[in-house]
Amino acid sequence: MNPLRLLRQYGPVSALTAVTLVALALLSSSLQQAASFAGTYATLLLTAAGGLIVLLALLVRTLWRLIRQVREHRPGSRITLRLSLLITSLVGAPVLVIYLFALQFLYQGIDAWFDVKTETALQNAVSLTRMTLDNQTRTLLNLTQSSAQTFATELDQTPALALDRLRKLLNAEEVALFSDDGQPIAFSTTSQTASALPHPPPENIVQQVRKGLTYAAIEEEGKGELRRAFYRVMIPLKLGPRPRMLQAIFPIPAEQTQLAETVQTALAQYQQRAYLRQPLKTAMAVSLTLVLLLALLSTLLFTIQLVSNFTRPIRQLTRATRRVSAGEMEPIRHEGPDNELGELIRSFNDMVRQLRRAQHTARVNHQQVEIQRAYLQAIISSLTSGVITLDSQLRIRLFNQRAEQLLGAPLEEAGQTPLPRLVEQGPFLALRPFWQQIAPLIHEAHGHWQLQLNQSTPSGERILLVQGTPLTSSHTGGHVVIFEDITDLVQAQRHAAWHEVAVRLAHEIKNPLTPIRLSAERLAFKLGRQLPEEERALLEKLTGTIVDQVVTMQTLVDAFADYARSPELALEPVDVNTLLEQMIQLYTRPGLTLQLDTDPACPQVEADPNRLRQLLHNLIKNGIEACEQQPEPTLWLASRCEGGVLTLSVCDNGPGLGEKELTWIFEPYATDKPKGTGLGLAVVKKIVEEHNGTIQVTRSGQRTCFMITLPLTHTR
Amino acid sequence: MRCWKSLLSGLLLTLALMPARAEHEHLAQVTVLFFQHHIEQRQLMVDARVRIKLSTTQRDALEHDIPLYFITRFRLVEHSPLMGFIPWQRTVIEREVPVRLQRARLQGRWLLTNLRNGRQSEAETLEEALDILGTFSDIHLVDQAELHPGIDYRLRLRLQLDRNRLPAALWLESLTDPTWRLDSGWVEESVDQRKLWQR
Repeated sequence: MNPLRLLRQYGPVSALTAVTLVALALLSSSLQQAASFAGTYATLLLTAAGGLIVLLALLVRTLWRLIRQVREHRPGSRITLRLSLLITSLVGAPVLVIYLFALQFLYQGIDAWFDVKTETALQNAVSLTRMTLDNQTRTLLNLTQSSAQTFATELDQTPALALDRLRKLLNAEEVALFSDDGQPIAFSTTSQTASALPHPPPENIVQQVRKGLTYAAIEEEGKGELRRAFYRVMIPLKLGPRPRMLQAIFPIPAEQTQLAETVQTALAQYQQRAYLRQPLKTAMAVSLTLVLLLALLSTLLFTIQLVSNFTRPIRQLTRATRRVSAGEMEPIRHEGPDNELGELIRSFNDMVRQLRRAQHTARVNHQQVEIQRAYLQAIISSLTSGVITLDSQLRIRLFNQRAEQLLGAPLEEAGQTPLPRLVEQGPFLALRPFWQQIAPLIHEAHGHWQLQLNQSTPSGERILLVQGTPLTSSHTGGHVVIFEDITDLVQAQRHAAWHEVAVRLAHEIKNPLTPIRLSAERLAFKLGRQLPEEERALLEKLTGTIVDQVVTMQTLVDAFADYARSPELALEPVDVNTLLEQMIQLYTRPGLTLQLDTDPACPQVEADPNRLRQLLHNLIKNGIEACEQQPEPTLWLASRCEGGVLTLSVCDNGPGLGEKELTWIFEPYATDKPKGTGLGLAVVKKIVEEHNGTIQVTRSGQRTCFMITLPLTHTR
Repeated sequence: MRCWKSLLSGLLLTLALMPARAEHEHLAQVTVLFFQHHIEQRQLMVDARVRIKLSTTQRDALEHDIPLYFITRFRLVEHSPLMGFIPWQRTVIEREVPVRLQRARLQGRWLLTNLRNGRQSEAETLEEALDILGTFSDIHLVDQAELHPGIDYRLRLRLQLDRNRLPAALWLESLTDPTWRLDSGWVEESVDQRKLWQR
């Protein structure tokens, strides 16, 4: 691991723990040393408490962050929290047990320091020492007093010699004679220092002795290593008229002083500790508790950091997995530690790279499939036949625009609804007859099937040729249905048939009609003069009937001849508006209203004028017949030239045509009139088609209109 | 979290149960009997007499050879309003007299040690020792030359037990136990201008 990172992660807590630990160690040490004052203890205690508070604050902050991360579902936070608490519990429980035992041992240990016998022995030792010293003091006092009396005369006369002798007798260190105001008169000392002066007696002792009292006590002088104890004995003396004071200084052997002090110190310490027993227990317990808190706090902080570091690869893996699931195929940058987790990261990176390659391949394949699909769609769309593919659930998978046009349903909106249910819904009701007819074939057919069906549409009857094939080779199964409008084909076949009939009629029937008529007329002429009146009338009636029928048949044959005539047009410029005006004049008569509405913008049309005239003639005639039963029979003729197309319309106010009539109105010999050949409108349609035009019947209000459109490409 | 709550509760309980000695024990008392000043050889000197009554706890500690430290502070304060109306005071000088009181078991006496100059005094009884401890004579504060006429000077005295010099183990107890408190608080005396400037 990076040393700087290590220092940043563990440095502050380590330093703080170390400082607090040192403070606690010194704290414990200060408690055990009697010389240590509360001031030092307080400083150390506050330092340790401060360190613990900072550690606690760090812990609270760390835990707060961790809990916030858990709430935000940050990767790895939950496991970090759990592992940290688990490890801390595992460590904390034994530490707590040790703490409790240590506390108990501490209390027992402190109690074990104290013993009644020890205290008594120490007190006795001190008493004994004190008694010994007191006895020695009294002995020296008595000895000094008795000796002073002995040397009283000499002390008055030759004080220096007397003091010297007295000192030797008393075995004193120093003997001095003072006046009653404390001024030294003479002295004798064992000290070799020439300038040495006698120990000056304190003022209070001088006053005490001046009053006639004696003084004998142990005193100390000097500092440090020079410190020593000695007996000071001071007694009043009556030497003549002048009061004097005699002071004797007796040394105390250092060993004796040390022993006495040792005994005194031992008792003093014992007494102190006895007094401090309970406070010491409390202070020790507080110190131990602080140590416990330090251990737990630092353990928890270190554990959280340690677990956080340990789970870093897991966090990286989780984040990377989320990225991958979001489609971002990025490997983890850091390779991770040199352990199983690092191996896991490396494996993950390998997997991501493979996934990336696979994704790329899939994308390429998908693009190819899309291209193929678009290609197929283009092919299907360009087909003039309608195509629908169904899957195994009979849902529409593919269709083209022609299919929508032929079926008259918005297949785009079919969605995932199976066709059997789809045909029950509003916009798809038009599909129901189609589906009802092909459903048995789809369900039962095992191979290619074909069906021709009639379909009713608003523009008339339509004939569809439907072919289907099961998609057995496909994994998903299904069916493909192809259908096309063969209405024109069927009608063309019919026209061809009728044309053949017309040709045969014209050829086979028209020729014999003239001899039949001539023969009938000759028969009537020749035999009419020879027969009686009654028979002659019968003959004329019969021959008249023959002639009439022959005329009728000739008319019929002429009509068929017109229909069968070959489409060889004699094209020339035709002024359509003029033609319409001529036609109006031709048919103008009382009881019939003819209205003309021409477009002056219409140019001359390249057409066969005779055929065009016949076309108008047939339509006007058809219109007059249609509206002759109306109270005010009216015809409207109009021309319009727009968008390169000439539109001629012939309208009438007749009763109009039914839906079924529209399907056969242009077929030969299809008439509902008692008279007529039934070829009029068939001829009209033939002439229109010869001129590359179209014709359709519309109903607008009370008008039934035949609308003829002719291209103006041949316009001059 | 539960573990931490338990630890915190334990710590608080320990602190709460820390020696809270019976409050019916006698509390220490400090009474300033007199606090006077005088000028001697152009030096401002103070005399004071303080009666000290130790609490049972403090006596008990002394009996158990625990030395007690006392600090007596003498402070001369100058009161001179800033700009004539803003109250302002300045400590001219402060003298401290730290004294240790302890039992000399071997000698059967009570030993007083002035920690500033090392001088020792002995007493036969504790009451006598406290009497010596509370007696202050000719405590030199400041040269008269350092003072100015017309300025209000105040003298302050405070005697207290120095709890920071108790044995370490006693510190926690002394924080919570009122019988360890011994403090006269500041006793103030105005400096007599006539005494100060009379010739």
